[in-house]
Amino acid sequence: MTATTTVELAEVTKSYGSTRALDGITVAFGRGVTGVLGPNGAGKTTLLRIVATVLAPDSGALRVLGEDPAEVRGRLSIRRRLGYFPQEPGYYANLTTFEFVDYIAILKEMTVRRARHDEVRRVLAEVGLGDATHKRIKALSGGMRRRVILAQALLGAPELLVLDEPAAGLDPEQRLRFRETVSAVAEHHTVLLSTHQTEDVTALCQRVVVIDGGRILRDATPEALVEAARGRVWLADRADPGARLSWRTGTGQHRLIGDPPAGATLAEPALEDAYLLLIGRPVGTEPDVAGSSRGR
Amino acid sequence: MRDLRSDEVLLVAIGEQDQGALTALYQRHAPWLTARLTHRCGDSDVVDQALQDTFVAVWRKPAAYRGSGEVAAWLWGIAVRRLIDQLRRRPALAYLPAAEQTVVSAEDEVLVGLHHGELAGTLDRLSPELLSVVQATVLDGLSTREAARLLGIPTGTVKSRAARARAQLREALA
Amino acid sequence: MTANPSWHIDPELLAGYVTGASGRASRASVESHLVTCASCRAAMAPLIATDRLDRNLAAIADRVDRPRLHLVERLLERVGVPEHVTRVLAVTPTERGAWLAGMLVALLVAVTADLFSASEVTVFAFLVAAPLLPLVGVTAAVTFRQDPLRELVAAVPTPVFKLFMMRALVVLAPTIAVAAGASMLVPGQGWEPVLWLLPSFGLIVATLALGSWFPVWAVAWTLGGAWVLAAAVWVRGAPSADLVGSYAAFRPAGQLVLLALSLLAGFVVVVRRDSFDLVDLGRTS
Repeated sequence: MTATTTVELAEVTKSYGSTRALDGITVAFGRGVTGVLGPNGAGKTTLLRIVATVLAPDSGALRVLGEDPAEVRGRLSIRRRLGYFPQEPGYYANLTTFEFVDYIAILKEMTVRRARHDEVRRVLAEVGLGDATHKRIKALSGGMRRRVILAQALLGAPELLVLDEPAAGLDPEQRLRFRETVSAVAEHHTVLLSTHQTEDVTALCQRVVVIDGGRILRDATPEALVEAARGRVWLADRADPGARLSWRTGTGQHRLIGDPPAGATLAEPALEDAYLLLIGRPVGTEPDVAGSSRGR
Repeated sequence: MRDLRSDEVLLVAIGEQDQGALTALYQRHAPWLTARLTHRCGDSDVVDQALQDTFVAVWRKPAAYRGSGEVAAWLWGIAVRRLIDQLRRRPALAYLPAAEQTVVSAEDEVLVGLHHGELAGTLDRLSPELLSVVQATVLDGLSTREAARLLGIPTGTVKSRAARARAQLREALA
Repeated sequence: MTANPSWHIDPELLAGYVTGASGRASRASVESHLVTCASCRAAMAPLIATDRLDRNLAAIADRVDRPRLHLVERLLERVGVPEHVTRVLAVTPTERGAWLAGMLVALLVAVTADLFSASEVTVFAFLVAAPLLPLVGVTAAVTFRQDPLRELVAAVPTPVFKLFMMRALVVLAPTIAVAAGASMLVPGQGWEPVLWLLPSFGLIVATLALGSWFPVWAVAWTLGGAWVLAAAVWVRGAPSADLVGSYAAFRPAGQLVLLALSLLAGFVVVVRRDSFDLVDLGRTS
């Protein structure tokens, strides 16, 4: 492991029954925000769960924060320096936000009450919940509940933050807030962020890994990804059945990816175009990769 | 940013677990409560403790404010009783500081603008035992029974001393 | 409502009040004015030391933030259990309410049947059935299935085994208490009413031990079923007046064997405690 990488995976695989969720993933992450971009069922959650030591891979080598999660001692050491935002977070609805985060803080081995409560207050303030410490979670909106989960992930200022679609279902203002908090933390830490929203990636990530069907399709900076789509994105007045992908935009024109039809104008590519190009199919359909269907 | 809500509205918000409202209420009332408590007991640790107890009590039961009278007066009622609770655990400390300033300048009385000039001197001429009863019941709003407990005298004595104090003051002002 | 008085306290007088320089009467005037005047109250703020005000506010916030403790938590703390442990015990979900209620009903039924028929058969049935209830409770406590927080909890440094044991304790303590209370109502000579305790202990520990390899619920059902079956088969043909004495598990030698097996299983549990870490989660997707 080099001095700059925090997480290393080598030929990691994971299957659920006959479904191959991860098919030989080799990648390394370091400081800053790395986005994991991919459609549903691509293997994002499986990858993040393995990095978060919540799931064991079937095969392959894994090193997180210098430790091997396969060993108990290594696992505990990693978890002490880890903050995790699961894809489907659960809550104890009857607790107040303070009590909930306090409970997780105890599980994170903060046994000294005064210091622990100061830390709980700190993370709640950091996610903007300073005024809601005594509200019961069941009385909170969806966006605020997600902030509670983000707060618990920030407990103890962990070196590695694993966030699985943390901003899902949030409105743009809440998303912006999320991004601000995440980028503030990312300065000195490693953040692994999975999403299927390209705006999150453009706003936050220094690096993006595009994953589909359990395999890494591309691993590059967002700018490089966008460059790869240059010359392949067009605007036309009509839909073109010959294009790889096309859709009607809000302005009434059609955006096309692929070879230009007659009369089309070149468009400035965006990350979303690059992403769609890589995936090679409209969002929401299944991949063509053999052996995988709905595995996550 | 200053909270513009009225005291009563803050209390309602506190009832809804709004900790920002408690902070706002604290910022408005803690200074004068601290000063007034200090004039009842010189020990700053005791005053700090009583002040904290007061606001924790407000947080726990803001609905105890019945809506009549000033919120400030209600807060003082809680604060003085919390102070007495603290003093009870420290029998060595007295409710009123032993040394009392008795010099009052005439200018002060004019500035205050209230007709307390003669009263000032009269108050100072009351014996300490009558004074402590007046302080407890009239100025601090304690009930006869609370004053009796605080000063360690029977309620009958509180009533008779209050009557004597009133008589003396009336005589002096007449 | 604070009516804004047209007259306010002179700043010098106010300062004099704070330092204690003013006389008794003006002090009384200042105090009675302050109760009605918000702006004079605000004028007092700079006259009190900022760090004192901040310190007190921080102390208030700390006390206000502290979760209110339940009665049981306070009792446990009195006995010396550390605060963070009682908090986990209090917060951890065990569906205890529903569970205890169901158990109470079952035991009441058993005891009532006993009291009315008071026959040896019902005593025997009670002794065989009683160990199953704590077993089910503990098994429920050591799985994550019902816990909405399982993903989060899986990523914390506290070993899952430790958490499971705390939850088992939370379930076990009242369960055993109720079952023991029911035993007192069961008619029987001498030690009879508590002969179920060791089998119960044995079943629980054996389930935990095997549960470190196999799915815990499957193990619990298997062992529980085996226990009932063994009891039924063993006493076939025995005189119904002495069913309890006929079953080896309820005889002194049998109880000792159970104790020995339980201790062995307990040893296995302790040795295998790390395997509980990823056991249940590996299978969820």
